[in-house]
Amino acid sequence: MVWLNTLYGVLNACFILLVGPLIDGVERRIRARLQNRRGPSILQTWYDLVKLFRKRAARTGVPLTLFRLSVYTGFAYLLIVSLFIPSILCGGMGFFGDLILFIYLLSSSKVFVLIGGYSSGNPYASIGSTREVSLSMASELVLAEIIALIALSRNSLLLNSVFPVTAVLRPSVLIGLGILGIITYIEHSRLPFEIGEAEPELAGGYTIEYAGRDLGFILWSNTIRRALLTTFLIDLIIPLDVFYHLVIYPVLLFSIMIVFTAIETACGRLRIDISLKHVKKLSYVMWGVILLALIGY
Amino acid sequence: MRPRNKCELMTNLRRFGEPRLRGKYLFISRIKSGRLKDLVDYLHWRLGGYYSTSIGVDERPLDGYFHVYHVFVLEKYGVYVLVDLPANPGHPVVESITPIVPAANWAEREIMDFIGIKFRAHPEPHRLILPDDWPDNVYPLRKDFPYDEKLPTSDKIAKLVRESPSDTWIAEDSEDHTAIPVGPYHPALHEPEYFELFVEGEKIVDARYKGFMVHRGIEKIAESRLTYNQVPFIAERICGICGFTHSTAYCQAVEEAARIDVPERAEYIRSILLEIERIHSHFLWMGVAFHLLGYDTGFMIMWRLRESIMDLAEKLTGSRKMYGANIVGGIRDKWDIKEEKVALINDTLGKIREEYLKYVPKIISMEEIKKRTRGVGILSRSDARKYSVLGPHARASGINTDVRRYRPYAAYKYVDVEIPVEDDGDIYARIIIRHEEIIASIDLIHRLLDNIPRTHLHADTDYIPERRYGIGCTEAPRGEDLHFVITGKDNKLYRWRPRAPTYNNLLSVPTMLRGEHLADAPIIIASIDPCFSCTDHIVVVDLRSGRRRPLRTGGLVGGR
Amino acid sequence: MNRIKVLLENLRKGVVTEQYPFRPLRVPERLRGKPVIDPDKCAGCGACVNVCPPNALTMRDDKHSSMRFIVLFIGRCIYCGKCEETCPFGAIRLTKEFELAAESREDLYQVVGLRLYHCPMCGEPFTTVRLIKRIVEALPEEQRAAAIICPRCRESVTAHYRSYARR
Repeated sequence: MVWLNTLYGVLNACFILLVGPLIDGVERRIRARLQNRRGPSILQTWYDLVKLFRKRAARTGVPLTLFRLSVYTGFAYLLIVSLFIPSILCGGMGFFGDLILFIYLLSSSKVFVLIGGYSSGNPYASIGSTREVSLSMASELVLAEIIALIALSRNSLLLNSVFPVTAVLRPSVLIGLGILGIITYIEHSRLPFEIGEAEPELAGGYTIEYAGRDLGFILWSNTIRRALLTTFLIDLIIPLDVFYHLVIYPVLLFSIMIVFTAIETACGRLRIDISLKHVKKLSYVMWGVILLALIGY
Repeated sequence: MRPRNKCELMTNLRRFGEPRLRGKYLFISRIKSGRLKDLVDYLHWRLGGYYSTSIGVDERPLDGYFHVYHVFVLEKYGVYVLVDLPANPGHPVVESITPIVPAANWAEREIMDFIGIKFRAHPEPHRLILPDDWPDNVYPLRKDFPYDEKLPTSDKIAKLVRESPSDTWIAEDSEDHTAIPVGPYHPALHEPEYFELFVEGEKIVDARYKGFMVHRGIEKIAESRLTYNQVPFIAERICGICGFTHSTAYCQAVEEAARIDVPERAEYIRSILLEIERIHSHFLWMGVAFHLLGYDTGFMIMWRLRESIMDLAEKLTGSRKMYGANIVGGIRDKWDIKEEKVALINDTLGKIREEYLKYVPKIISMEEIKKRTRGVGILSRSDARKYSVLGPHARASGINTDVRRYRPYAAYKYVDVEIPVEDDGDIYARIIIRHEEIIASIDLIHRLLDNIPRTHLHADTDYIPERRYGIGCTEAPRGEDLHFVITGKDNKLYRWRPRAPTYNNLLSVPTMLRGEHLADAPIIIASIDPCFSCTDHIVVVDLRSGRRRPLRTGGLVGGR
Repeated sequence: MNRIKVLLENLRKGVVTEQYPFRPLRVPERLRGKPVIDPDKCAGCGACVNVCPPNALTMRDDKHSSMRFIVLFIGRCIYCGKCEETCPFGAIRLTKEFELAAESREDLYQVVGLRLYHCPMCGEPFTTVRLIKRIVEALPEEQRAAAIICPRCRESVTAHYRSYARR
């Protein structure tokens, strides 16, 4: 069965790689409609990426190795995650402790991109990266707490055996899922928490020095990360079953993304100190929820 | 004790020099030696007037002297005070008033650049507008400088670019703070200018501004090549947002100088178009403000609403922005607002008002908008007085000033103008002021349309006498817009100086930035509704000529 | 929730953006677009050249070919409509055309060439044949003779007659 799981993993990864930019295209269309605009084709993000991939990365006189390597390392990390997280097919290359690896890879892929941006030495990139790092530190603490809660509720650290966490219907699990929804939103870096790129303030923040193929991979990574985080949320909710994953999963994936887009469209940008306060509050709530789980609710 | 009327004012002013009242203008000449500072202090700080601008004129062909006119506005007495300082052509030096009135800083430096009059005891006697590689002792607005003169190109710039290290990004970092360049091209600023912010972490500790990057020399062109009736068109093109206010101010200045009576109907049409322009400008500003606060939906909504105003303007004048209606003496024939157009305006504005009220009160009650604008970018009332800020910016800091009410022009003489004033002095107050002004303007247009009289559209302007002084003021969407003219021979101006409100307002920005978050810098800068092209309005400045900070060049041409 | 209401209001309003340039744009009657000179009406008087604020209209007399050229360069035009207002023959009009991007600079020029009229006395060209014809047609019989000679010759002729009269 190893080869079958490998095949599943590869197919899942392909799905995520392809669908990430597609979701972004749909989101752009939705956002446009909410703002009285017509909006681009839903394939627009793919067109953009293809165009960027064709372009040479411009030399900007910054140290190349770290600057470029970090982009591809970050991308590779996400690729690995998509191999073992069940998405369109319910299966993948799971192994013991992959729950921890999941959060580790997901967060470090982001950190890599931020380090890359920081290494350019551009002051905007430095500020963008610093903001993004402080926000994701805070939100990943909450994510870790949620993982702890899940492991606690399902007594396992194996992804395939914690899914779906809704199999145990406890108040703590439900609250935990709710908070995971919020954290997923924040980790998507959507408004009001989109503060690392902040076009009107930082002119693109940590991505400012990237161009061509490198920029393409950063944008692609961002869509993939969003898709993966949402997939994780859905996996925790729906049963690990062929039908559910083939039919219900894509529907949920797109619906969640559309709801998120609508929320994003209704928001302005918060300042870093205010957003951090919000995330910290979530973290305190989460400690309470873990206590709740420990006493058996 | 403040003098009660103009007569008492004149008596009081005799202590300092020789006041002469000519209509609305109160010239004070032959200032007694050593009394200039007392006079300025009296005008600006005791009489409740504000400093408007300073104008340098090369009047050597007329009376043998250079002249500096400091313009103060005493709204209470309804006069413009022009402090006349002649400067000896052989050794043009006058005393600086910047130590007493900080708002005069730029205007005096501009005169140093263009006319070559030196200001004694000016705190920052550096170049303001002319590029650093401009040759010394060449003053472009002197009458002996031909307008089509081409100066030899300097190789200084090439040298600067060659010498600057290519891998250094940050200019002038010190041990405890980092310098963040905002501009000359930055997505938050839609025109070229340069702010240098010094930050510790995300806190701004200091800010510096360098502007005048799109100075185009139009004053010189107007003085040497254009006739009176051609200038309104170039004046309109000073600004891409509030152009009509510039052409109106210019025409009013010439009309004042030549004592031309503008027919009432033309005044009404001017006022109506000015208010349409104000609405579109405020819509535009609000959209940009929402965009800077990250709320792009708000941006789209405001610009959608603005589009109906633009369409209206296009139907009325044939162009979305360049109305082209003004000539000296009135309004051009084809720009008449006839019956069916009255209905069209009333209709469109009614719809816009309704839709606007559906959206904006909801948007400005949003948490992000409030949290990021309340208590941010505060300009206190005393600082506002110090820098003589104008328009909505001043009104948000509790200063009740408006050209339309206190020195009414065009049709504002015949109607009441509602003027909102807020006391908080923060960005939120500036949003509220403009929000209320939009509503007030819509209502005002309805009232103007109801009363529009049937008269001619323009007065006869065959003869404009020589060497008359005129000041034309309008309340532009950003504040008082002042045009100063001296009439000349051959159907041409002798001197023309437009001063856009941003010129005064910008000086207050560093004060507002200090101590704030870097994230708030764009919205703070934008909250004065800066119009850099208006302010610069005059010779292309090369961006790369940073004499004092050559490192910046390295960052700008990083591709090498 | 105010922000939701704003979005719902937007949804109710629907799409407002235009599909320009894929669909043509409707422009109002009054639009001031590209000026066009009607070469049949233009008499080459140069009134438009005098008023044009940005010098988009220029005039050049070529003695060699005995032609006067009125040159309109759209690249400088600001669409103020001063020329239309001034033209005594209604020869220059602003159209509603606004898509003026061109592949070459030459496409932005309109040149009207008119035959120059030479003064029968001194032989110097001073106006166009068409303008002289129109002036002559508009004048009563007895004034025509004075109109067909150049201003300088007219001056000397008048001076001559005056000196006779004084004797």
